[in-house]
Amino acid sequence: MYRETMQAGGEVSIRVHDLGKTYKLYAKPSDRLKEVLLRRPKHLAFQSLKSVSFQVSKGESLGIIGDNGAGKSTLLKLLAGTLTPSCGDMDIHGRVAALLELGAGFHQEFTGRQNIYLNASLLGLSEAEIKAQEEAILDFAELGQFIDRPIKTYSSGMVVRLAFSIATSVDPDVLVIDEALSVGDQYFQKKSLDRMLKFREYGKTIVFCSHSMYTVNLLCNRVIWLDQGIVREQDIATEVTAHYENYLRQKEEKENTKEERREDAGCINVVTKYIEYISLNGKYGPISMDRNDNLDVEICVQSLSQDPFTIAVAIERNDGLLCHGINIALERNQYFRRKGKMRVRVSYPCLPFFHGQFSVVAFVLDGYGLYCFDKKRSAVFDINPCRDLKHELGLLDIAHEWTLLE
Amino acid sequence: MMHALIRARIFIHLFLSPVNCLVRHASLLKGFVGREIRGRFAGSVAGIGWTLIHPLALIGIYTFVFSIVMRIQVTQEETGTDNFLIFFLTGLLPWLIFSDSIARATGSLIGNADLITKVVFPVELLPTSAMIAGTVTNGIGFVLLLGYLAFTGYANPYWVFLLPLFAAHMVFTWGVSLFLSALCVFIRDIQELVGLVLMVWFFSTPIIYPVSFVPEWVRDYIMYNPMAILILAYRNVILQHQIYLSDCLLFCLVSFIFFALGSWFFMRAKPAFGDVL
Repeated sequence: MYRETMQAGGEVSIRVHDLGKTYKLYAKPSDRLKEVLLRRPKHLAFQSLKSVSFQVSKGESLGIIGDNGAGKSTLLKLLAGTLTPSCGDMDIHGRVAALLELGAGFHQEFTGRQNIYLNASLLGLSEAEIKAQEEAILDFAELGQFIDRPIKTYSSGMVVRLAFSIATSVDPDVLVIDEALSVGDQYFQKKSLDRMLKFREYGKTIVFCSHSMYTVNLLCNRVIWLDQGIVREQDIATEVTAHYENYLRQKEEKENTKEERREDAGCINVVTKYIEYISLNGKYGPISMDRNDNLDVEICVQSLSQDPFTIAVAIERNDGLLCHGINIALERNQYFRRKGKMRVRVSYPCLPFFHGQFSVVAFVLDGYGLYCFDKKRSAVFDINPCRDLKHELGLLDIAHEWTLLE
Repeated sequence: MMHALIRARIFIHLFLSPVNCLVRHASLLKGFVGREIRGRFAGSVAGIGWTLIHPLALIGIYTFVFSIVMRIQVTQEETGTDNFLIFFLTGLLPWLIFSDSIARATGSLIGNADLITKVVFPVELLPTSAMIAGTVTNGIGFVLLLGYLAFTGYANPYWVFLLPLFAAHMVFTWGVSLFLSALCVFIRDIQELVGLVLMVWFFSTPIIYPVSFVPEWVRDYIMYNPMAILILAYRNVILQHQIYLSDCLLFCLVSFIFFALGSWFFMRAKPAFGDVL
């Protein structure tokens, strides 16, 4: 965090251009030596980060999300300066403090107070500065008597409290945080989040990496979604997190398809009735719509026998969550006995989902709803995230009203 | 011409940055040294006492084996004392300052891998503080020895030369520390190897035996060993009150070359530490 550059005008705090990091993977440690001595490549190159470019203004907070191994930690380490980039360049204005791992550098046998001095000077504070900050650090960490006992007697939550408290006392211009909040109890999580929000108020720049979309949304204006080392998306927080959550659900759904196939075996083998197609708002491909838009589902069923049957329709989110299910037989007490083609339409005048990717599944069931003749899934429909509703969470837009009683 | 000048400046920068960081990060260095000295024994019963027990045991064993069993006799004419213990200690303590510093420094980077990959700070402080810790713990013994010798009448104006000698001693140790600690990041075997090499080095340096015990044909080679020059110079100054300036200047030169190379290698290897650790 020592990298101090001249304040080169403007409001740009971090400028990263075409940044890349390649790790050299060696099969054996001795290969590294051979490569140096014989000047013959002996490694496998692994590109952890490929041409990442972005810019963060002063006072802005940037979230970094992505799967494990997407390059998040590499990017943070490059920003913090513990790794050197393989290509590209970056400019950071002001003092950078990195919280890549809470408690790195703590000595287990030393007391909390001794560790404050060691750790804070590691982060670049002078002895006088530490002395001035000591009270504030102790206050925030809330360790009480334990501060003069060795760190090894601490619970993990206490270690985290002390580490966070020291790290944020450095008063940096740019704060780089990796998953720091995922530890500690609820009370402390809130407390540390408050401190970071205060940082933002003071016009400091934050780069924050987390798997908690809720926290990312709360803390960050803008989000970068990293996927296998490249920037997959970069936009305002609510958009990117919504898309990422979508992607996560889809991935989960794929995992589940095996089970689903087994379920499918429950359908009667001899095809006597089947679904020819399902359309959404007259289209067969994927559609996207806004919240509270109208959705028309049209189902075409081909019946080859006269057995009674009924049609059921379900709306599922892409992670397989059943959001809504209906069965015409149960609702209207009506069965179909016709042979030949027939079409049914279900109209949903306004879908109250916040955002996400959904699809419609239609079933052709026998009269008792026990046998499934056929089952077909429509193309997906996306509900776009709504920028006005960024304070609400969950699946449904439920009307509500706050009243202050007293 | 311009180009050469710039290259020279870059070289000087690499060479001086460990010195520079000592000044700029004095409080952090203090913390590290404290961690190295106290942290090593924190929680053990004897605590800091172990820094005494170790060299005392070593002195006891060597004195028993070499003075009592093997009956090595040192003469007043050659070494300035006929007391084996005094002879031995004036060589052993400077050696321990060197060897303990090296042994500690070699593993200092790989032992703090989590720190290097997670926190940005001048990494050269790690081998440097390990070296200082080794110097302080063994230097106390050296100072006590000098005090005892002064008390028994060995003190002499020539002892002033101990200061530049000690400075060169430090520069040499520092250079080797920087080099080995950085090399050890890439080749972990170094850590095992250092213990062995130090043992061989110890016995090939005239610490436990006077030079006159060494056969003629080996004696010429002994002076290729910088530590031999140093130990003999220490003894000359402390016990015999004389100084061979040419030898001392040679050692100074050697130690500066070692420091320049060690420092240069360390600063060149530094950006790769994060990748390897």
